[in-house]
Amino acid sequence: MSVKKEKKGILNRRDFLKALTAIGGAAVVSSGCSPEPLDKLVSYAIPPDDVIPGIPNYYSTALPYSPVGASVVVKVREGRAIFISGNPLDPVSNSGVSSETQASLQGLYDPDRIKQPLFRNNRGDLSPVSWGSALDIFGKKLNEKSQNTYMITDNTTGTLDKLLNRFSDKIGAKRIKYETFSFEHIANANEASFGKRLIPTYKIDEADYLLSFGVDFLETWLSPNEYSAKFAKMHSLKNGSKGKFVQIEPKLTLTGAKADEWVPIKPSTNLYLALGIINYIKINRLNKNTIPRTFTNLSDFTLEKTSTLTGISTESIEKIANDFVNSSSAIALAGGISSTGEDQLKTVIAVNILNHITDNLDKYDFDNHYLLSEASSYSEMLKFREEALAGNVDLLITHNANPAYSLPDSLEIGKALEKISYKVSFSSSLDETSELSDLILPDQHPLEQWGDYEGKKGLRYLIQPVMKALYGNLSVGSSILSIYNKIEPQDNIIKETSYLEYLKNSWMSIYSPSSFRTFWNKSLKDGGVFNQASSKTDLSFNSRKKFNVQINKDSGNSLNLFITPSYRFYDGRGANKTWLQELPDLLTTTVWDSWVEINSKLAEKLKIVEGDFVDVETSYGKVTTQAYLSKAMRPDTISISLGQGHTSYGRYAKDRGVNPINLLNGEMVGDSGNLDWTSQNVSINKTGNWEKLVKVQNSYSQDNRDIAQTIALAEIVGDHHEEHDGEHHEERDMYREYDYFIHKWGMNIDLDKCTGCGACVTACYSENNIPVVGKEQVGNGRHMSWLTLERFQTEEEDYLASVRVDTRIIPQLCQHCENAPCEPVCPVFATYHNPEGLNVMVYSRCVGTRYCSNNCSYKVRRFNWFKYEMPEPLNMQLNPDVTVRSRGIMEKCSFCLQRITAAKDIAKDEDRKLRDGEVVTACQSVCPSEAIVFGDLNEENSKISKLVKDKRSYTLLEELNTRPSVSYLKKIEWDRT
Amino acid sequence: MSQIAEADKYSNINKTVMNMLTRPSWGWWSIFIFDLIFLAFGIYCFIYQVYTGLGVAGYSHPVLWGVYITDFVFWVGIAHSGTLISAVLFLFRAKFRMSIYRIAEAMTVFAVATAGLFPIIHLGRPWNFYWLLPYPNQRGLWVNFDSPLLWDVFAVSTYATISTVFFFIGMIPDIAAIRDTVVGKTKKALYSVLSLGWKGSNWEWSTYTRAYFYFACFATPLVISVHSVVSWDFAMANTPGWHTTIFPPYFVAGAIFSGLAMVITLCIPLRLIFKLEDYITMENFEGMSKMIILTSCIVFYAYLTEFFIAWYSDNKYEYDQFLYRANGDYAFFYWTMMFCNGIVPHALWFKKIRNNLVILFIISLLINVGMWFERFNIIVISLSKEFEPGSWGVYRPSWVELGITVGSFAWFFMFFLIFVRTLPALSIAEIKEILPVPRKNGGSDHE
Repeated sequence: MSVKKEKKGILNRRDFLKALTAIGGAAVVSSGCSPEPLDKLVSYAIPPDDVIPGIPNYYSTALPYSPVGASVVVKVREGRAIFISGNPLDPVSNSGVSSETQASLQGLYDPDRIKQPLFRNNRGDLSPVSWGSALDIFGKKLNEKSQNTYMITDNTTGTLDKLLNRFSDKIGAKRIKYETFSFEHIANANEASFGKRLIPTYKIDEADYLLSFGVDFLETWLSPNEYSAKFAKMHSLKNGSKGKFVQIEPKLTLTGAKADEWVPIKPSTNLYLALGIINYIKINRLNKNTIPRTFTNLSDFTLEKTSTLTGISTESIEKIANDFVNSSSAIALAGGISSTGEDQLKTVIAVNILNHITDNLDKYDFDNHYLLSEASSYSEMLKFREEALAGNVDLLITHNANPAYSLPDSLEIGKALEKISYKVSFSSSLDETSELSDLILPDQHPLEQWGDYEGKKGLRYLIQPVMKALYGNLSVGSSILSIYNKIEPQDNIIKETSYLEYLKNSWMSIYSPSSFRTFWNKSLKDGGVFNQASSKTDLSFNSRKKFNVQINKDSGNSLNLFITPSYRFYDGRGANKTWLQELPDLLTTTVWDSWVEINSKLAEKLKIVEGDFVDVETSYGKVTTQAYLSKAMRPDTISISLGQGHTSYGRYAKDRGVNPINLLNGEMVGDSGNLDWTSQNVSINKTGNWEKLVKVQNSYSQDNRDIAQTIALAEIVGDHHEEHDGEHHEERDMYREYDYFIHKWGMNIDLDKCTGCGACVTACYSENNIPVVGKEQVGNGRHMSWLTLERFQTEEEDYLASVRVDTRIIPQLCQHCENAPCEPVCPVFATYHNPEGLNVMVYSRCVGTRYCSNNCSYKVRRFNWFKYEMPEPLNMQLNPDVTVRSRGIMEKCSFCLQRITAAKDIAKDEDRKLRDGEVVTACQSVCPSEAIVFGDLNEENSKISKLVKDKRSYTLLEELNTRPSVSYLKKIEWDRT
Repeated sequence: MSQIAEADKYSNINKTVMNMLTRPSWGWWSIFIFDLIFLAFGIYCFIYQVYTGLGVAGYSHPVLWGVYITDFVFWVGIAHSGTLISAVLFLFRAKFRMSIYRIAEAMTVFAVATAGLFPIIHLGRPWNFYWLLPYPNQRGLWVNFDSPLLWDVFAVSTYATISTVFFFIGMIPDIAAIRDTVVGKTKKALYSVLSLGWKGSNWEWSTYTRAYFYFACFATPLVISVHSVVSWDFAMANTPGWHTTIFPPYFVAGAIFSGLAMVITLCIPLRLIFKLEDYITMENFEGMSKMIILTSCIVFYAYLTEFFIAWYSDNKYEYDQFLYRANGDYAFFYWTMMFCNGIVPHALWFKKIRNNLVILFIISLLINVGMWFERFNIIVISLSKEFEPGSWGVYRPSWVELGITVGSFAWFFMFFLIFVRTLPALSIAEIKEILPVPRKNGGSDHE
């Protein structure tokens, strides 16, 4: 330092000041870099233009997750994404957004996310390394010549796909676009039927009769959000009628629960039924188009034979066939994952024929097809596995693919991966596959990066970062761009330096707009470009292939395994999110674990009770999990849901439940391409251990209490005027009525539209900072969900003999009663009636007597038994508008009071009255079937005021005179049993 | 009874009572320490609960009241018969009360002191319990007078005040007697203060007896009111199984029933240990036994009425609730209650049983158990199965709740153990009233 050089050791003024500055600067620097958290909030010196504290920003973006991605609007508060709702401009999602998509926020704030590149050191551990050196290592690896390289990604589309293709070409990698559910058989069947190897959009909304051969289109099939919306349209009441939905499956699924007729079928016999129906149509000359001779032994499938093969009565088959032919517009669907057995290809072809001969092919929309058909064939995956097992693969690059989890153990994928000399992963979490990698270049979360996604032809979603990246990671696109030009030979250079630039140029070349700036900004604002083709191509069945259907000699006593893809975890990727783990599976209401569903009669025979640990064994593997007994399934079927049983993948997913994939043989079925998801000859054995199965709902019977009510279609349409006159008397009350001077909020839920998908439940967690309590506490009856989906079933002895399993789903939330029983009993006024009809909770005043909950007739209040903490950075998702409750106090649905206030503030700023529909509650904002309506009951012309006067409208437990503000529309039944 | 014995009794009464107040034996100490260990465990449980959260109790949606409220009602019920025996029976001039009423009153005070803890223990945020009191504050917050819980606050605190005052007033002449004989400066000073300068003058006696009479009159309605108010916690709610007009008389009868049983439970060992056979006689037990039969009949009638109304009202929720009580998840507890409260007391119709203290002691214990389960059944079973089938659930108490319950018994007995060693457990003055005054000539003209 200059100070030292000074003669005599005396400081002059200049040096003194210099030294002072140096010391001061050092102090500033050291305090600025201090890892200690700041305990003071400091306001911006120069505030960013687009951030007003307290006012949220909304960004349109997309989540590029298969099967079709989701166009969403993300609510961002002070730089943190806190809520995801659907993009209303997106023609597919129709503003609905599934639980899984919403929970991607928890993927963003996942405490187990990889924060920087990891590199396997000499000791064999993964240790952190800087991005610079990680990319160097990667580059060096790529420049090693003559390697057998594989690149396995999910079904990437759009610009990233283009870049990945270019990259893999350059490094000479074989690319596999691996999807756990590729629906390859549908594409292949369509190729065989129509010469188009594509997966069309099925316009079920235009049908009035929907026949589904085990397709779970409300859960995971192709595009569940889209089909939920379409189904709501098809199935809702219009002009005095509504569509009819028939589901054929061996085990009741969430989709089947919505069916007007539910037909239990022997597993893996969908093809026989389809052929039986075609043959019936043929014999009775009901066909409108000529029946192709694709199936040579069609005439074998007489009614009687089909009936014995499928286990469905001849009358039922006849009825289905007649209804199908006689309805003005019908469609049959096939190709669900659970039923992709040996005959998967032929089944889809047969159903195509069925649609063809009844002249219903107009509902196949090949112009707006799903790009899922671009996923690689399963056979390529098997080829890769063989090469790897033989030790012939030198380098593997994976991105968004987890074959170590999603392929059966019998394929020895783990062993195969170990034999690969070097593995690079772009995964942002340590899952079963990336755990084995030698180098991990963690991708950014989609909410932090630029990109695009095309799930469906013509719909190109634009992905934009909605917040600053949590960690200094690079997106896959950026990683590849930064390394691409360094790969030998250095030709075919990419000139763009950033992925954003690359993306923009890509969009420029696709759309070549006159003004790119305007186009780009509009696309960003809209969330992408939505060009849906409307052209109608004439489609006709033109296959020349011939099939002879072999009838499997069923061994009779064999037990079949029916694996259901989970609408919560999809193929297992959702398992590390606590919202999804705590979202009860609708039909069983279990959480946080796996279970095996067993027919109650079979269980009785085997002396199995609910909660028993049961060994489920095939010749390929064995899993042990708890039994759940169900009446709504065939006795020759057992069912396990997919998604759990991770051996890695973060603290929430690891060692939880079982993975039923390991029971499969993993071989490909004939020429149809897919993995065989069915398994015959399963054995189940009691282990002797028992534990209480953790469920949310204990009683599935309504006990004649008419909680979830139904109404017969004839009753609405016909002149069934109930005798209201005379009975109607003036209601008198000792107490004065409340005055609602301005607003009186009310909610209406259409039980006919509600499918029980649980999107509303997750939205409520996300909006209202509801704590996740974990398996043990749910087992103690302490889940905190403000909104629960209750499901009830009739207590019939034999579900299999009835036309349908009367499953009723009802979202249960605070009813905001006018005569609320909870209000007068609180000794400290912690809950009271506000002037807008809301039943409000004052958290800070609550002392926790819990009297309010005891007196609540609907039991919708939740108590904070503990202080529920969430590990950082999950807490970043918390909504700053809603108090995080401390322990010892009561909480419940607030009708999203904060959203009401926000809407009122805007109206006040604009000096106008609130518009009808301006206040949208969280649950309402995500509902794919638009079953929830919220509004002002004081407003005469509001939607809600009209709905409460509907014939179908009713309130829960009316006889208690609590006068709820929540009303329900009765579920419509075709025929009342 | 021979006159000599009578004379001995009269002269021995002071001695007997004073004997109880001598330096405690090792036996007393060991019981006391044994008791304190349980109390310490109860306190540990409570501290653990406050630190961790109310979740350590066994509460399970939708049963949000459980053992703590059961304990509360149980102890309030126990508190009942003390005032009944001392005040109501005093007004009715029932002589069999004389030798036991002090024990019963002490029991009342300590039981209220125990009961009063539970509404605080059961709170989600017990440190804010004072928010339930209507005190002026700068935040302008007030309490909700519509809430039965607030009525509880007043009913229980009033009862605690009155019973404590009544307890001490009744003891004045006796404490004065102790003051006169006790040795030791501190003790003397303490008893002097408690005796309020009693001299035993004629004027004092006449004022005192009148005051005692007025206090008895004042306390009598409280016997009815406190448990009626407690029953309104349930009756005012809309829960099936709670929402019924029979609750106030049913609860009052039940409280007297359990209180009498508790008095017997306390008196029998006390009589044995301190050799009080001369004072707590079979006559006392006879009287209490007969009252137990009466109250048992009332309680049992109430049980049957509940069932009848559930059936007769044709109210589905009520009907299902009572079917569930009899053969649901908690059927064992229900039938335990029925057996202990409805069947067992009828053994007391037989004089032989009434006079067999071992059997009587066992019966009194069974009644205590039965009455605890009665409250448990009312609270827990009703909440388990209310209107909404989707919410039904089953509650199991946790070790913390049971620990605090055991601790509450230890707390109660701790006071009682201190009481028998420091204050006159028998009313010297009143026992003397009913004993014939011995004459110097050895004769007696009392009869």
